[in-house]
Amino acid sequence: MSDLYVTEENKKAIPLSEALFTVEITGMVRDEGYAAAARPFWESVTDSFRKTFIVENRWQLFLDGIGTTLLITVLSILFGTALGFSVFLLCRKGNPVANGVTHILIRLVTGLPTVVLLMVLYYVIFGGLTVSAAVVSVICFSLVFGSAVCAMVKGRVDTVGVGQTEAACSLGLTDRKAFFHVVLPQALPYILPQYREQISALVKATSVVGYVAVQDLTKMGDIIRSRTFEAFFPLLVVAAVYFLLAELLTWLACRLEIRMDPKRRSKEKIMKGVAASD
Amino acid sequence: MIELIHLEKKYDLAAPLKDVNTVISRGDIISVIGPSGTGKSTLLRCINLLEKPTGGQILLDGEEITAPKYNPTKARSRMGMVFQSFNLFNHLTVIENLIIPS
Repeated sequence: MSDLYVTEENKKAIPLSEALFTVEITGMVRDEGYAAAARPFWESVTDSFRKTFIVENRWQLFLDGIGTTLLITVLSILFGTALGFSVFLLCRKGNPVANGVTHILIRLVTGLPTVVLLMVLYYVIFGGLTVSAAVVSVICFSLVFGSAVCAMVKGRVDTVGVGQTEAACSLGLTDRKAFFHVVLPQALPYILPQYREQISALVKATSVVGYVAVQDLTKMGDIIRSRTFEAFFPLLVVAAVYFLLAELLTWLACRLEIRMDPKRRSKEKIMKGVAASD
Repeated sequence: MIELIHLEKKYDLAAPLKDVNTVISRGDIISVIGPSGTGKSTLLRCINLLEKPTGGQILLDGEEITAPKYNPTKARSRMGMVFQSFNLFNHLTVIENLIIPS
């Protein structure tokens, strides 16, 4: 808990009890003439490592943090993709007023710094409700990711010429079929690389959830740092894990990209579709 | 059989089709000839319902396809149309391009 000062202003905002005990604050100034006792380099490294990971089983804190970060990221990717794509589909033939409102909301989400949006959601919009900070984080990052998905799908679908839709329609495909069988498959190979970039950006963006007291990887690094006064190992591990997480998720998205490229379909798959349509 | 009755297509600044009347019977081979911008493509696009005519009627085998509640997909599935710019489906193979409506 951070310091709480009993002031006249604070008393008006929240009902405070009588002060039960007070804590003195002590300031410390470093002696300029002081030099740390020189220790062999290797000894200081092993000591730092021990304090960061072994003492009090602190490696478990890192594991918990990784789990939380991964959970928030993966859920936000899933919900965000579903949300962004649904919004795009609804807006495709939506009425201009509803589309305008949606557009403004998307601009709002993309126009705010993610950490500000997160705090607005946690303290203002869900402030009166008992919603866990992790859930609010997932909602926040789903909105952020969803906006990005919606914008990139729209941008790429628009670049597929209108002639393709017309040609598909003139062959007797319904509007929906023309979109899913002709327009979207041509836009996807261009959407997915952007999608991959967004995933990598999202992993990194989740590092701000500590602001609403979610104990993710960054926060765990902070906690350990504040206990051990050692910055080297906690930050090194946090940096390395974010990098690896981003790489892992990007690699998975890459696999998806290859699977969904219509030009990479196997001959058997194409002929199967041909035979099925006879 | 395709019948055009008083077909009209007007845009804000131009009216490429004014009172077009014709009957095209089964087996007819028709050429529509004219300088650029006189509405040849517009006529074909109207018959395929890619453009909505602003007046008149189009009958396909006696059925009015310009009626407000008519489903354009039904008429289009019985027509073949080759576009000026072809509009082949790049993501599909040749055979898929040939069979896609099915």
